[in-house]
Amino acid sequence: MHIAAGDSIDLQPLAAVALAAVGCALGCVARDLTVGRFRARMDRADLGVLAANLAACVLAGLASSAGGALGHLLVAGVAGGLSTWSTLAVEVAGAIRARRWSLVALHVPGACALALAAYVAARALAGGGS
Amino acid sequence: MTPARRIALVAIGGAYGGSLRLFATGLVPAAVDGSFAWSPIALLLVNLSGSLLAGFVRGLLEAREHGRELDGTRASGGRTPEMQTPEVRTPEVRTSEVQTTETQNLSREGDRRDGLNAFLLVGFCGGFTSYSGFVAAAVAHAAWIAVATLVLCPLAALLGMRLSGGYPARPAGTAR
Repeated sequence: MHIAAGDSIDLQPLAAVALAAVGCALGCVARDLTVGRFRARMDRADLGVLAANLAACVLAGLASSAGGALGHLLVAGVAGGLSTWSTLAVEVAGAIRARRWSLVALHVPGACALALAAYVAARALAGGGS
Repeated sequence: MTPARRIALVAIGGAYGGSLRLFATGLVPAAVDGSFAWSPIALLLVNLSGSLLAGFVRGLLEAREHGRELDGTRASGGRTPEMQTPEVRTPEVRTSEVQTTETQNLSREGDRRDGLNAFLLVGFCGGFTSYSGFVAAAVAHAAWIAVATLVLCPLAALLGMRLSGGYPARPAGTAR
């Protein structure tokens, strides 16, 4: 796209960032609603974060072979926004401070193993290999 | 805070965080050496800095909450209304005015806190860091990324809570 005589900018990275931003906004809102639902029904926000992270790993696995715009939107955007490390890290930090080691075990090695299994299974299902 | 406002703040924060993550883990490594070889390390740094910021914000919010409770106690001379003797109670009309102003202040402060939580913690930090990206990086690249992230991110969040200054070194008595 020419913006001045002789000058041109590559719009591809900008489009990728824009798609990721839109997908991430959608993913973040979906995560917030999921966590809110878990908090209201079970008083367990941490399980909401876990559910959102697992759903995002399944989505990332299923869309891992998708390239281009769809890949940016779904993998970098929606799955990236739906999943989070920061909230999980804060939950784990709180569990460490309260010495609730069963919660730490659930959210650190337990959630990681579940997420890895979900991602690999979804990727295999989508035909991307394991 | 209305649900619509919260959703808008989360979405805007998420859009900023997500685009910054893509910039840091995709565009910068590609621009540095023309490949994505540095992407997993960039994602580890993103998750660490996001966890540190999230811990800091959480600590800040809890410190504000703690400070508000202290202010309330100080304003009543360290006594709850039930503990005050009738002679020190203010006249009814004045009490009502004070209570209205305090309620408005508390509501405004609560809105500000909820807004900060929605935009920075849920939106920006949540969108900036990525669990699915971490899992994909661990599968595609190296297990050490997984181990480093699992160990360091909670520690970064703890450090952030400490740096915020308001978070007590140990939880006071009961489990959180």
